[in-house]
Amino acid sequence: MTSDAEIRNRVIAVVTKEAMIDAEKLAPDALLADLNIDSIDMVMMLQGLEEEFGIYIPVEKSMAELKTVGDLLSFIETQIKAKG
Amino acid sequence: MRKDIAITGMGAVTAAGIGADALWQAARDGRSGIAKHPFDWEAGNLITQIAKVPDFNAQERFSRSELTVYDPFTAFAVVAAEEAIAQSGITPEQLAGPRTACIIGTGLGGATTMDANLHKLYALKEKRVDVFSVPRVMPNAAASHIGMRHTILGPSFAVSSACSSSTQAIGLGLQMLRSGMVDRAIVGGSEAMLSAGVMKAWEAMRVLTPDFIRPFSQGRNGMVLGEGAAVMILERSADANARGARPLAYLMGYGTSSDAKDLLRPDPEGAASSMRQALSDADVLAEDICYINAHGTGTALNDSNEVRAARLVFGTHADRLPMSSTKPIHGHVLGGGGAIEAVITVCAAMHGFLPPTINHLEADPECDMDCVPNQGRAADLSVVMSNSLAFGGINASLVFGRG
Repeated sequence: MTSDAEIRNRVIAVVTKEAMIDAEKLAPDALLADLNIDSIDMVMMLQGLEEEFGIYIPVEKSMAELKTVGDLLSFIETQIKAKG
Repeated sequence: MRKDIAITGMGAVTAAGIGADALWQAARDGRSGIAKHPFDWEAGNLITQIAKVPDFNAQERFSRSELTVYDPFTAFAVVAAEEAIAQSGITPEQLAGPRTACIIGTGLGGATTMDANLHKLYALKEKRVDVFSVPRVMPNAAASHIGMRHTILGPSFAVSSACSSSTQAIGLGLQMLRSGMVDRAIVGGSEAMLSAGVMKAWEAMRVLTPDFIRPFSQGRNGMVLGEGAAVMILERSADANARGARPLAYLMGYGTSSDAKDLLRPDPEGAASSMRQALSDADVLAEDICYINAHGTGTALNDSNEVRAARLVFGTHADRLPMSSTKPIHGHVLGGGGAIEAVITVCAAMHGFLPPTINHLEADPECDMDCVPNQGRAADLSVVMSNSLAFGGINASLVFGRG
């Protein structure tokens, strides 16, 4: 069984690679807008997550409500747990 | 109210089967043509549900030489055009010549041929590609082949603007007739892109739903792609009357606009501008519109954007204005979609019936218009609209009047 910490590390690796963001900038309360993470970065991340975890996550309505890095990471981890 | 341009024939090839009637019956009854289908080769596709044309039997419809040069997108368009021409009652002699236009929209043209060839070349290491790849793939192939079959000597070309292609093709036909450039126009669109590689590319966009397409509903998470074609015959109403033809409906107005903002994220102002232009071109008021067949892809962004746009145009009339999406029936047919939905919109007016938005779970406060959820109903529909809102920010709207 994969631990939550291990999943988080793998998710952060995907986010940093696909959105081209330094890992140290990914503080939980940092705003996605301040990090210039836009819709194109989100689609790139979802592709990276498919390759890393083998799950298909479509762009859905609730993604528009993600405001912070913490929101983003918990959204992704919820999807991984539901579909993985 | 401008009723100077008549629609005298319609044809369709869709997941509902062959024919405009089959399409209308499926849309009216809320019967979906979406199912899971295996692709011809393995490309690791995660999404296999598509709205495929059933029982097309190209080998029985076309000669060997035609099949050699027809990509499926051309074959679909040719069959839809034959149906539309037959219904119009225009004779071959009247149709032939320089006073007829043929404008067939498509997003990706011969995508199936292209994908199959790349697979042969790179994966199977075959030395021979399809000898007629180039003329099969070119986006104007469908317009050219319809033209050759019927000796259409006037303007002939493809419009390519992704999901707005065939709506713009129909609109251009209207303008050519009004300008006096031609006397008849064969207009519509076609798409056949449901091959493994093209589907993989769509998967990467994350706009495909892994479960159900639910336009305007809570829980919507994407679209389902489809294939097919639809074609309309346009002529001036005076000419139709002179030859004793009864118009199925009138093509009253056309509007189109470009967001020029974001490649993928739609803009309500752009869509609103397209709808306003179509109303103005049709010389009708916003309050005259009785039904909108929405672009309604079922993606998170499109549907709320489209409702916001409609509210900008229709104001409080939007509270009483039904706007449904029939994409869960025939899928999203990209360059063929606008024409397929135009056929449904015209049929809705002809039959006085609002086709439903199926798969609807629960109202989304961001989509606060009547999307005719799950169950269609009878209604008096004298003036109706169809919208197409494409990637690239290209919007197009058509207004139709009952015949």
